[in-house]
Amino acid sequence: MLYCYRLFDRHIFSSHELKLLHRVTHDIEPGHRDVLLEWSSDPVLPEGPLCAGRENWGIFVLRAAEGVWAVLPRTGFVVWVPKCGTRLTVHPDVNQLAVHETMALPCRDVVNSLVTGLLSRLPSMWGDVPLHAALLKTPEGYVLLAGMSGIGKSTLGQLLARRHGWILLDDDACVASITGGELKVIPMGGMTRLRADAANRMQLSGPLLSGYADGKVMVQVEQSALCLPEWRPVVALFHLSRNNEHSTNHSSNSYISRLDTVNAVTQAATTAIGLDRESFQWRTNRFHVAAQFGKIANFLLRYDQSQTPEAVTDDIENIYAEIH
Amino acid sequence: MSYQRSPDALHAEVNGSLILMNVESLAYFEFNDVAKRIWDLLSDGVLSEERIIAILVGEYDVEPERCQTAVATFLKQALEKGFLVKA
Repeated sequence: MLYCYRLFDRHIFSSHELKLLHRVTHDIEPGHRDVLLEWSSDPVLPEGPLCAGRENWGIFVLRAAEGVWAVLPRTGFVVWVPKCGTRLTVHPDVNQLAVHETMALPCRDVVNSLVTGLLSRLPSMWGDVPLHAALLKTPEGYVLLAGMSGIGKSTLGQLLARRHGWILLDDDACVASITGGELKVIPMGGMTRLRADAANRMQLSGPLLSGYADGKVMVQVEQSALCLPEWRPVVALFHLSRNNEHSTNHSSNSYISRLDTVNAVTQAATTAIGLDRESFQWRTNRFHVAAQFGKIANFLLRYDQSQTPEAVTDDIENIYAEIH
Repeated sequence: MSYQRSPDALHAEVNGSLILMNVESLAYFEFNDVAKRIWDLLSDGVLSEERIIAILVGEYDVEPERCQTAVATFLKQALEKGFLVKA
């Protein structure tokens, strides 16, 4: 069975990529506007992950017990492999592959991830700039936690809500725009419903949402904010990253550094996502939003696995308290 | 030789700094005060290297030879990074 999402009235695949997709999917002729999700109980591709095409295209096809999912490079998607319970994050830069060693129910998650990946990029079509960042509300304004999938946005966002009383508005994506010269950020809004709708339409079973990383009780996302987002100033942006070098000394906040202006702008730009990353307009919009983020406090966190999320959130809260 | 801003160069004033990005290369750059002034001078269009030097020598307490060297260095770098183009 092949599901074909025709969500866009613009080309998101190049002709070269289409040829590759055609080879992957065997029996269909994909169009420039299609996003393809093949769902078969009898996959014909060989075992194991298969990298199709040139490596730097970042095109991955993974055979799984319940299907094959082909994803394209410029946007980056989460790929779920139910057979081994592994989740891969496919980035435009294939050097950034994060492996989540978590077990999960696959079906709905795959669709959720695909639909989320597509829908969260839609605002770029009308000039807004989607950001891959969790959005929290503090008494002073909005705080963002940015970073690649699996880095801990949800985990830290949940803990900041539980332990420090911040309000979690979205644990994965938000939308930035500039209105009247001012930066405005709102939660992506409606994604929960959109994801559920997509899963229901495809008659897939499984949990409604993929769940919270540490398996504890989730803090409810502030639903009212999704319907009618209020304007608040953006006061801080934390860039999360993983330090591969194991460090034993975390007695201070030394793994947190404040970015200077040009690095803040550069780093903020990496948070933006879009459908067509090559377009002049998207790059322009991204730059101007990133420049606005350069005006606020930007911090880079490089933590390793020896640090507990609780400790990291405490440090975030301390740093945040210092700037306010 | 005359110069003008590249259409691929985006700029923004951030916390008193002038940040530029080349849309094609995605290179980011922060301009110092003199570079900012040259960038401002080019806002109206094309200027020759000699004219830029003459304006800066009139505005700053700097020897012409030193100014000439600094401007030439800046123009070379700005060309390489795609923030300026030759007119």
